[in-house]
Amino acid sequence: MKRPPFRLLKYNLLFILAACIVVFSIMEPRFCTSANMLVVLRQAAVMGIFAIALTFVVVSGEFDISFAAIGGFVASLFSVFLLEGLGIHNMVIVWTIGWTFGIGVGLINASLVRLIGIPSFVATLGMMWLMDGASQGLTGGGFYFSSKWPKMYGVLGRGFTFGVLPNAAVFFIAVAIATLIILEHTRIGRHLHAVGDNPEASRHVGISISRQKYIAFAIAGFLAALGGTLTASQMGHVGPELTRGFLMPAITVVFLGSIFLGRRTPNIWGTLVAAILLAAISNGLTLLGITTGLRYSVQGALLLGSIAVGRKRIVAALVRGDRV
Amino acid sequence: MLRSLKRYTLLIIYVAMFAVMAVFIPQFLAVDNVVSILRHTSFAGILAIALTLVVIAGEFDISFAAIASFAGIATALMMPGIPLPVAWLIGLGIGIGIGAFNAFNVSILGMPSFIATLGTMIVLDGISHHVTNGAYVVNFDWPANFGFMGQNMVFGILPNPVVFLLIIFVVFVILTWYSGWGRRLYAVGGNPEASKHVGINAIRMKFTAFILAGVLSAFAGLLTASQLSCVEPLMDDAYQMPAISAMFLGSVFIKEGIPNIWGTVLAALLMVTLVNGLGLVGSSQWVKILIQGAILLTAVGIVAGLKKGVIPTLKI
Repeated sequence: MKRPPFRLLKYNLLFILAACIVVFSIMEPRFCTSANMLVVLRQAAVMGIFAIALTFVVVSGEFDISFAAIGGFVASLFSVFLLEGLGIHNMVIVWTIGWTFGIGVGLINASLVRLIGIPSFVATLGMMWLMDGASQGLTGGGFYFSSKWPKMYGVLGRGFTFGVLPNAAVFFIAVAIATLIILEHTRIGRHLHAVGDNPEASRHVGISISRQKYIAFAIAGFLAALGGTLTASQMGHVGPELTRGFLMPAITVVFLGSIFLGRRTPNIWGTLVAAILLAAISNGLTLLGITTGLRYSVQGALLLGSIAVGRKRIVAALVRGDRV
Repeated sequence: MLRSLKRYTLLIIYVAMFAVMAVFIPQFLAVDNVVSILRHTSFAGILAIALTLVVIAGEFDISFAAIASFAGIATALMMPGIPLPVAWLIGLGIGIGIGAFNAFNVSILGMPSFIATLGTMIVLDGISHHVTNGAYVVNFDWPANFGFMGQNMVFGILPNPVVFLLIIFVVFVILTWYSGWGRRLYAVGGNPEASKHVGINAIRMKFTAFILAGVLSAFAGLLTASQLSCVEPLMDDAYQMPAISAMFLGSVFIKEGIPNIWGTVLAALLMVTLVNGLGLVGSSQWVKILIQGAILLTAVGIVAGLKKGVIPTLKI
């Protein structure tokens, strides 16, 4: 692998982030206000959690397009079914059930891929439709809001620790640290990387490819559920559209982050920085008056650009048509 | 024996489903309804054929619906002041251009096709949304003939789009299944290594596949705009699910995992009829989405399960 000409080039995304902050602040003074930074952080938190979910799966050599839908479904599930329908009001219990559900769906995804042999993007595409349909069915199609929800519902998304730090950011940082440690500094994480980079070699060394992928999908499902929970908490309602808006940005974040640190595969650090970067760009463009549609296109361009730049390892990691 | 049974399974399922609906749902057999089913099938079918071509070549294209919308919107906005045939040509040209862009990303730059076309889809959808501001575009300056392509009825009863589907269907069945080009296309998708050794130019074949997909998608988009006499912002997103489902369903049931044109079109007819029937009995949107997801997973799961992972030409 070629060394980039300047060692510091591997911190490319950080430079871009700094540049964006400077440029946006100059062009639009409102960008640098603490209120705005709060908005950016909140966006980055949700995008980041979803993106980390996808990162685990891509690192292990598969793809998961259902993560946003899983998050939306879990949110609808606990909002409509648990809180409303069953009347359970202890948020901790509700969240635990919801997050376990996320793990369950992740395991089902993994079964479809490993047990039945459906290529991962088709399997998760079908799962996404199932989850979307189920969400819509639960919420009846529109925004679902209930005054019976306990106050703790919004605490994750809108509360503050020590009155200053937004809970969402704290949550995100906690998740980020945990996943960083898991993926980069534990044996499980190394095995996940191994399975994605070189399945043949992993098998010869004795790593169970199936088990690693089950783990990856399960973690993704769990994180997706977290993301859905956070979004619902921020918005104060659930509905079919709740998490759909995070699908494409999260995918963009994962691939944007893959060019960070010269790794050329999706990695947690890259995902983190890219999440903040994309949130900042989106926010800055909004303040500058760029319309929703054009902002969406910019994301698409970033996605294409980051793949074009970092393609070699990503191609190897993603195009696994053969079963191992 | 299992093999030949499989070939007619889809047809049998369709006939059975049709019969059940005809008996139990009152308005199902009404002329209006049947015509509506045929019309929707033609849009979904043309889009599904576009996707099928790319999948035969061993890639995937998730941008086809976005191309359709974009081409329709772009043409509609350009139309005042341009002679009608030129407008249609420009619209189709847009399809060619975007198809070439996809092919470039996938074949030359080496991006995985799913992600590359996802990126294209995002860019196009964003521009479409920006241009229409989410609203409908209706313009009374359009040449009166614009609606002709989409609204005219042959023999007073068969909508034009259905005729177009039939023509495109026949053309591409012949092209993919009964011509050398078609065999080479399947070769590129089925066994890239071997086809390279035999001298088939994979890059050229994929360019052709993506460009054809782009043109067909654009055509579908223009037809939709012509049929409605207005342009919805993301009109063809409604056909994305049935088209993708149809492609997989058709490949699974007719040819054991190998995408093929007639399977795709038959499956498109089935999906559209199913959604129509569900709508007539008052199912909400979510039931339709849920069922399509279940059908997709079941169909692909059956083949994958039987062959444990061998869906040969679906190299994503």
